[in-house]
Amino acid sequence: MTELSELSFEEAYSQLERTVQRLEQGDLALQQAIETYEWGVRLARHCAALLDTAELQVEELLAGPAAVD
Amino acid sequence: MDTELNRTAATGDKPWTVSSLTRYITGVLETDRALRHVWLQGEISNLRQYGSGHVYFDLKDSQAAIHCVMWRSSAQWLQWQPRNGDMALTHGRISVYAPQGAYQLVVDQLRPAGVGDLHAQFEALRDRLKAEGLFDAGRKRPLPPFPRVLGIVTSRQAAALRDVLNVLHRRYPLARVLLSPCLVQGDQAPAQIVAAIRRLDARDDVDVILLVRGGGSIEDLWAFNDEGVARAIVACRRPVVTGVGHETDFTIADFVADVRAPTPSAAAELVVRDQADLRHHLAACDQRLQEALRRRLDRARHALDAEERHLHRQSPTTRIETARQQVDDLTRRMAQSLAHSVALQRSHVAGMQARLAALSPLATLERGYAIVRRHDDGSLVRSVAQVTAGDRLAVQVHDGTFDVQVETKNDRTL
Repeated sequence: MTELSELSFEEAYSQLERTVQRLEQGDLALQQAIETYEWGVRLARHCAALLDTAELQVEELLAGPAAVD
Repeated sequence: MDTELNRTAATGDKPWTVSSLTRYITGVLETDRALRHVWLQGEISNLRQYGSGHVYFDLKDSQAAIHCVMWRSSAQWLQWQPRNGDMALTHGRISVYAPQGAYQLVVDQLRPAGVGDLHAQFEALRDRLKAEGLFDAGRKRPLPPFPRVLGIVTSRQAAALRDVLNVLHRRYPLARVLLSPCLVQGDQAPAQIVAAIRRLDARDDVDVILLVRGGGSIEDLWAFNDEGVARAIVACRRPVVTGVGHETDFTIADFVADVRAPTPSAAAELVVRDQADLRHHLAACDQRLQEALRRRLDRARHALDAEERHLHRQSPTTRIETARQQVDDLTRRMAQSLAHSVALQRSHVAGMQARLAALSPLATLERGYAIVRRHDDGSLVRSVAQVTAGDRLAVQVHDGTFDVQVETKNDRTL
């Protein structure tokens, strides 16, 4: 499986949704179900942690000299 | 007059005061939606301009006239010096001037009619672009669900920028914002807006572009009715969201944008999801994971139980136990039937003994009877006729015998 820390919020979020659905289908072997569950919990925590630590970044593009008001 | 007053008072129909009726009329006129945004065209007459900076005039046609006033706050921006007899196009709202009992148009825009008619220009451009299909819903692109980089086109000093950044900070701090600054008002604004949009669109990392500006007069917002701006939005590779002016303001930019928001803040709210909702959803996912795993474990446990029961039924121990029980059972039944048969035999023997005893003469002898035999031949004496006096007889009682001799005989029983 992918390294968790490498996942962006969007990737982790959509993987989490897929993981939940996969587990809810209920057709996984027991060991696989447990692994899927653990992965899902880690994804959810990763998403929450990304939100907790996020700070809005604002940059300004360099404009032509006329773009001053 | 007193009687008239008393009469109306008696019926509860109290007369208005002049002020109260004027207040009522003012309320009616000034809250009417149609009268709050009025485009009015007419000939200027009775024009007065005073040192205060306010401008007073009437607008008239062949049959009617309406008083107009333009306060200094609006009049100072006038780029046109109106004269009596000019045809003018004005925008404003109807209000009541109580001291004279007059209604009037409070004008915020005044320009020569015909030439430079902004409204007509606006409608012409709108109709032309619409005919080109640039407003079609099918052209509009969906917004990315989780934009990482948001491009913002607005003025660096704009209150709209602060509003947008506040919303993004609160709702979706994961975003990165690229500000592409430009003038948003004045002659140079359209060209700068176009350049600012293109600068963002030239990059590869921008997911969505917000074009925003706070509220203002129709002239203030005019750059957003520019055809060049509209075409730059259309040509943009990324979805463009506009938030220009207030809710009631519609610009050409709004029509061609992929999404039009009523205000800059609303534009920011439209492009990102609220982290409160996201966190809520994360918690829900967590819950669902727990629930799904619990169900899966329950199912495994039930299957295991069933297997165990099945195995138990197949176990040799069980069969041995069953066999042992059967042996015990048979043994018990055998012993029971043996005892039964012995008891039966025993009672049978006892019965026969009893019957034997009942038939034995010895028992009769015990009760006091005796057996008498003739001494000479041992025959039993049953009758008097068998003996004569002098015969010798043997008498047997239960515990022995003795001999007797017959003396007399009587042939009658006692």
